[in-house]
Amino acid sequence: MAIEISRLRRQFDGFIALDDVSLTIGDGEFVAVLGPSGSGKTSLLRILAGLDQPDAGSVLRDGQDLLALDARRRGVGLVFQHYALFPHMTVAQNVAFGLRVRPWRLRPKTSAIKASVENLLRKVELEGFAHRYPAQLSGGQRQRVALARALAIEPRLLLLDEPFGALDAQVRVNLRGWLREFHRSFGITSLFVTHDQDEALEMADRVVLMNRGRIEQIGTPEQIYRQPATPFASRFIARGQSLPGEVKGQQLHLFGHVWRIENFAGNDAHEVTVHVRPEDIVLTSLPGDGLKAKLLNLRHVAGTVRASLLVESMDEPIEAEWSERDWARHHGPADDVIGVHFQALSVFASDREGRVLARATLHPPHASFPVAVGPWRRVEA
Amino acid sequence: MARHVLPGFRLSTGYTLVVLGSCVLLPLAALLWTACELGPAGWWAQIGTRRVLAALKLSFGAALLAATIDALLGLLVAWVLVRYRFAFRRVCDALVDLPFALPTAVAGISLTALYAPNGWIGSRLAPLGIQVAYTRLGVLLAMVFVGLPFVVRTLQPVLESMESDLEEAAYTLGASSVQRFFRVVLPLLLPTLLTGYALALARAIGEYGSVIFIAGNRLFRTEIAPYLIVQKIDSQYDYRGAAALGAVMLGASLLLLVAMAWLNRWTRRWAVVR
Repeated sequence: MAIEISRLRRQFDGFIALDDVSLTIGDGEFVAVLGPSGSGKTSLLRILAGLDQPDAGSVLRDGQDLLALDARRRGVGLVFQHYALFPHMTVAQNVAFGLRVRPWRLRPKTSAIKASVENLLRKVELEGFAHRYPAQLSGGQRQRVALARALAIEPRLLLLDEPFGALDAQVRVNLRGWLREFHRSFGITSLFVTHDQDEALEMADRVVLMNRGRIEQIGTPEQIYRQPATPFASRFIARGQSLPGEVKGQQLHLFGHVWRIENFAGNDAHEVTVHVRPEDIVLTSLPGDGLKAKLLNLRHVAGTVRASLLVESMDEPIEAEWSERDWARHHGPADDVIGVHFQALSVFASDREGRVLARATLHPPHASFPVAVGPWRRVEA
Repeated sequence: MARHVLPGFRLSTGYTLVVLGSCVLLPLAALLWTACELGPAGWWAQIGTRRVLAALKLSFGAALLAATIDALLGLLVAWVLVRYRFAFRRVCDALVDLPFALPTAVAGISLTALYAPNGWIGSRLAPLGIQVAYTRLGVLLAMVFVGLPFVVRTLQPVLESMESDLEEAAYTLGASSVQRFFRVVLPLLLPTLLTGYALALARAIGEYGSVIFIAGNRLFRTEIAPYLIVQKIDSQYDYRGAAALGAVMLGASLLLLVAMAWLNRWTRRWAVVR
């Protein structure tokens, strides 16, 4: 049941919520739409659910025009951010709602409705709660009722709007794994919207990264982390931080060092962005080696050490992250100036409109390692 | 007693009880006391007459019917005012309050002037065989008029704060617009609607000024109970008789309002966490 979304555009007075959005969702796939608030992800969800109409573009399901169907007939299950359970109905009545409102020709028998409600409640692990009202449930339980209610109509597409947005952190993390398993056992094509990177990367088969109504990148969690397509993707997913680098010819100039970048067509670019991830700022093993960094503060967070650093001539601090073990091994006497080097740098060349013309990942060789460029440090274009 | 965050619990409670007692309970107690002076036989002699029974029947019957009409009409008005944006919406919104603000006598006189057989609307209804002024229909009309704002004003804030999520959820689950209204919106509005209904009912039962002008106060036909009470005092100085009738109205109103409150609780049983 592939879903083809092509060139969707939606504009609210003066504000472009969706700008030329195209996306294909495969059968049974679990896709996350990730983006900051206002990036258009909820607009996309509402259009797919039939609660909103795009200004232009099309949505096809197996070649059939989905936009021509109204929300009632779309067979799309939607789980709302704040659950939107009917407060005056019990859990069982909530779940049965979608079956009870069918025209009488299509409505299952009362006994069949009862059986499928019981079945669904068992699947979401809420068997004993059938006769409670939503007000008597915890947030996580309500979330699961909302899921069961959406699944009762046997939707061909399941949409989840910030499924864990209103839950506290502990419950959220527990439900992630549960929902992942749940999807696997049901195999229903699902799309969920979230602003939480961890959530998207941990759960989804594929992540659609959105920003300002546009799709920045589509890829597996690994691809997006390893090869961010745009500076935004790098910043949002991999916590990439800007460095004051310049590209001249085939060379990157950074803090007085010059490194070669090959096959980088960024000469006529409007802007060149150099990003480094916190985990790619590593401590030098030899004192006095690498770039000088002034330690502004240090936080020990359960096995990792996070630090704010002023590197060389920069006046904006950047964040670095090391394991507790590396930190214990490498840091010198209680000195607040340490040596660091960059293990990987992402370089983007973009034009005036912010479109990326070229990108490269650079692994600068450094003195701490006996071999400057070995077979394991590949230079990618 | 548990300590409260704000001080002055005793003072404010005492003050409330004094005000409530002197303004509400004391007059009611005096009313019952005066009525009791009659004794059971004297009481029945006052109440059991054909004239009084007819008036009570009209008062409560018309009030119940008027409150029902108000509930339906008020729901419609509140719905339109909250859900739609149209020219002069704010003016219409302000107009809803007019029956609150208008002296009831003015309302009664204007309704009479409109619906009298020679009035602007009355003269057009007369050929159809419909007479409003000086009939029970007129009583009903006046009661509907004064009760409407209660329903609209209680419903409005609830309708405004109602999440569109619920209707959208019902929509994606396959409910038609009729089903969405009757299965989702109406059950959620019902407690509030009942509150509005009870307020409109209470007002209609107690309404005097606007009704007596349009009712015409014809014996056995369009006399309402409050009119009889005034008559007893005005023409016969029969304070005990008036009190007896008043006590009956008080008792019946109390019963109705308690029933409404109970019904209200029942319709929102889902909100009570057990």
